[in-house]
Amino acid sequence: MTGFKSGASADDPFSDDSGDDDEPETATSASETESTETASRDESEPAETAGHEQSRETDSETATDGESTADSESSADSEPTTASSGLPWIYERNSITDGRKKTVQLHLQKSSLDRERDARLDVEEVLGESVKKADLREAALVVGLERIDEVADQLREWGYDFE
Amino acid sequence: MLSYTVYSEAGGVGKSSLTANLAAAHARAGLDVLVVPMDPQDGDLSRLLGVDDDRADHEADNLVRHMVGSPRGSFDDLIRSAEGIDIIPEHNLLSDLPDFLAREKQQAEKLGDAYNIYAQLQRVLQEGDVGEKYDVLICDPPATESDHLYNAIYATRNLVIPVEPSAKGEASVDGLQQLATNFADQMGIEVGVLAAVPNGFKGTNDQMELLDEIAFPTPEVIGDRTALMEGCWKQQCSAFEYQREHRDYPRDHELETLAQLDRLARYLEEQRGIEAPNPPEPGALEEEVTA
Repeated sequence: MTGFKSGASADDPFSDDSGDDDEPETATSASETESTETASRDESEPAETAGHEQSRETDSETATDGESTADSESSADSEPTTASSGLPWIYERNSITDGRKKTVQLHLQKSSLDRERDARLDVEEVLGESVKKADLREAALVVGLERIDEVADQLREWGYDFE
Repeated sequence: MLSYTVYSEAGGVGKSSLTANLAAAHARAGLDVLVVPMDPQDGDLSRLLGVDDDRADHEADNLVRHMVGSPRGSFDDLIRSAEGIDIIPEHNLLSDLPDFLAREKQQAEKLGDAYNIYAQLQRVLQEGDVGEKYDVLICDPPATESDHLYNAIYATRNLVIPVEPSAKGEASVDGLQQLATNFADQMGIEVGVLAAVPNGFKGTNDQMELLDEIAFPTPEVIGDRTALMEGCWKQQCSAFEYQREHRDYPRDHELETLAQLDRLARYLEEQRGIEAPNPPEPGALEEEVTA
């Protein structure tokens, strides 16, 4: 299973001749999935990653022709804060997904989404320029992961470690 | 290759018009474009581009025949051209597509073979070397959840969603998201949303608020262009051609809409890393169709 995302799909159904006829055939209707809370409007972000988890057992058959996905594949897993050209990442990349190989789906509480919206404005105020939502999210995640105690506190608030 | 399905759950949001005009915008920038409309009803994209003359002819070879493995001719012979755009015209047999596919599946299962009823359009296009021959593939399925839609999504993996800026439009985007998520998960594919295109925008406060709620990139918001679109249907051509050939004098707001279509086409191309060889100044009319 893979998913659904804002921005171009990494799949290229015409990249090889094997066809996908052996794919499981089950799709019917939209009823089971929980609602995906996606976020606010994306102004001009070209390919913002709101949505999906890349587990790719099946994709190996269909994915990636060099031309169309080279950009997003090339920098792979390593987090490129500075690219080969020496430019900071946001100046070097061609689209918001460049260098972001992994796309994960975020099902957010409404309150978190509201906080993200507010925080984006605050960060933009600090930096004096607009900030892409995908960048904001990843930066917040990276910073959050450095502050494990506070993350644990939040999780306790949600009921973890409850006795 | 850039490939996408133009789809909205709500009818009447200008889906076929948008498809035809985006195709024209890609083509006039020098890209090779194939459009696969799949509407079983009349009043479809093939009609809009004036290539629908065979749709009721039962003798005529058509896409459905190819999808169920009973072609009467070559894939290339299915293709017609208008305004530099290649089109596989619609045929009335499309209304029976689900039955035909179900029968094929049954047949295959009897023989112990797997058969994916949603992968048949992709198979036909792949066998027709579409990936090699074209820069852009656009599918225009009917505005209902159907085998047509799933075949289109499976073959293109990306969506462009025209949105009516209203509560109804918003609900339909949410519904589409659910539908595409489930389909992608079940088929083990990834479906991307390249853009949402608010269409028929009149600029009311309510509409402005709804725009903020759209969770996808909205690179262009297209105004209410009823007169232009009706003119296109009447003359059976794209908005570019209509403006060039059938308008006695240029209307500025309509030229702006053409510029938006050009910019939107460039935006979509960029998402797939495609550079059009000859992009016109957005909205410029002196540019001849060359593709």
